[in-house]
Amino acid sequence: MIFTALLSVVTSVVVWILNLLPSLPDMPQEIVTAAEWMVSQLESVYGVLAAIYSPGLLSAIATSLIALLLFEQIYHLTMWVIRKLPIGTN
Amino acid sequence: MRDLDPLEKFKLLFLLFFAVVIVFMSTFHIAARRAEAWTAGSDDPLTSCSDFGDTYSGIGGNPLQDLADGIIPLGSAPASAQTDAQDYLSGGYEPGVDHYAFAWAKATSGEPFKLWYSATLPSGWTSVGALSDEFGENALYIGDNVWSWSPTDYGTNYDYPNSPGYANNGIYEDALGCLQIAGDYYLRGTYDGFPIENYTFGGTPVTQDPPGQCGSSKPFYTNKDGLADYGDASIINVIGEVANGDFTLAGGVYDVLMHEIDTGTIDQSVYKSYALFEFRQNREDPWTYGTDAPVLVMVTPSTIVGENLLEWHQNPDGSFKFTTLKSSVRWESKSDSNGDYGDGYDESGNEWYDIEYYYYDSGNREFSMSPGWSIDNIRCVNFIFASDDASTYDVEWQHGDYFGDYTNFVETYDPEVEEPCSTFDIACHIGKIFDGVADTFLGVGEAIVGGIASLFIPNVDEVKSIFTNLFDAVSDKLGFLLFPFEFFIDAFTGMANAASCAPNCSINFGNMFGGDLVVDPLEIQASIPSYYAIGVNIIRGTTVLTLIGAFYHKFKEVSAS
Repeated sequence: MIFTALLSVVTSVVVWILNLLPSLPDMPQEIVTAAEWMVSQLESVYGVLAAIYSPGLLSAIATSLIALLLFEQIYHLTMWVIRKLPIGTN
Repeated sequence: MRDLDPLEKFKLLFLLFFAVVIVFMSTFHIAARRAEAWTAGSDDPLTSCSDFGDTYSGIGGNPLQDLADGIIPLGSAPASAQTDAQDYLSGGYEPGVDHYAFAWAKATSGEPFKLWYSATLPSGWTSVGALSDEFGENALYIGDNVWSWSPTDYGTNYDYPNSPGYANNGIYEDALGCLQIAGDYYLRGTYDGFPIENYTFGGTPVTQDPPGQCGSSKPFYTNKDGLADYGDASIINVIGEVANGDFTLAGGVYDVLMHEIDTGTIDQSVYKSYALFEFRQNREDPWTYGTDAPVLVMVTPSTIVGENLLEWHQNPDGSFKFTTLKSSVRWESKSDSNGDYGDGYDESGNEWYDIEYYYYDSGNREFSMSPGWSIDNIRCVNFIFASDDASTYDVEWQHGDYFGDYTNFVETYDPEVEEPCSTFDIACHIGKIFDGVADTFLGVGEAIVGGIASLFIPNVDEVKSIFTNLFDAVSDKLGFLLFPFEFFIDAFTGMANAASCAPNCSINFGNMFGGDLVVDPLEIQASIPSYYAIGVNIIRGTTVLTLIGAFYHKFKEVSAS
């Protein structure tokens, strides 16, 4: 009850501030439709890939690909953290 | 040739990999199409019995021609299959003289093609029939004297003769009942006078309601409204009708029922609802022992109020199929002289009747009746009978008012309601007082704990509602600015929730690539399973090794910098 009341107050303030702003128009329906088609095609392709690779392996591959693309950033971040640790200092 | 750097090697390897995948898919897709030789109908592959659009274009022609030409090997199947096919194709078929039939079906998995051939149709039978999805997706029944082949063992595993009509439901579970027996290739039954034209399985199967019985092709209902001819149609009413001579329960069934009632041997805490159907054949002596025996089914969930217990349909050939929707016990007649029930009951004058009962834990049990059963003589009754224990039953039975009240009792039946104490049962009254005091203390304690907990532990629904309102306000104000975020959320959510596309893997990219591009790995798998398994494992292994190599080179590259 206490948490809910506090949360309700905060969100009410945010909503009040938002109400002061003008409303922006929605994205044109054509673009939305095209995006939905793209999403459905992506899901279809993913379904076929899952049939070939199996869902578990496909998840691992997708995760690995993301990790590969961000390898440099992840590597430097990890090394930065390790250097900050006492065990990582020379 | 200059040395490629690791990143270039990775790109090259990946390109090669995708080239292999595309070649693999294209090659086997075409091969699968050729091997299967089915032309797509409304959709392909078949996913339900309502999809009758697919037609067979033949391995070497049409199935009948294939059979006549010996392309479909006969194996140990009768040679008359081939000669009959030749006879039919050459116009030698003589109505009223020749008796044979052909039908084809496409299975949804495994074997892509099945052929059924039937000869020497018995009186009153279609040779081959299919049940639509109305009767269950996998329901396929085959008439008498039917041989079947599969593509992998044509003729070597034929099944003859099948028992009339329905014995193969379990055998052909993978085969949808989508037989191509209309149009160019269709069931060619020549049974004299049999309206074979009605059995064109190009669409809705023939259903026919027994006149005035059991509610016109609708499911049985446990309430009286669902039963057309029997009012509240309880077994009790039936028994009453038996007494009045209006309704004849089979002697054995009646005997079993009364035995159970009288002795209380039915476990009332378990078996509370009953459905009964019984049959008699259209002949002078309807209850002679045999497959014509009446059947009593007891449907036995713990509580049933207002639910369907049975469904039934009449098959196109006039036979009936009943499906119990709950777990059931079945009574069957048995011909021996050591009866537990009905001993000494001589129904027909020359057979001792006995009834055994069999317990089936699973629901959806099917019973089928051949067309020999007259729809004029079928009686199907669905009824509820409920009681907390057998003793209650006995008491009410003795008072003679149980049956009159049972319907209301059932409709208001609540297993949570306690039995009231009898007037002079002091121990019961004292026990209830103590129970009440204990319940009060427990209730107060629970209320205090619940009140304190609600102060600090938020209600999930309330929190969810707050965030929903906040998101609505934000999306209302930000409009198109939110679109990219929504798009990526939808895309990732869709991919995260996307499972394997099996069993419907067709992806139609339309004519984006200059023609119809359909990717369907499962079709390949069904056609050439061994190659498919090898190919898939190569793809998987290549991908994993490529990724490992890419990680290795990337690590070397980054760590060196």
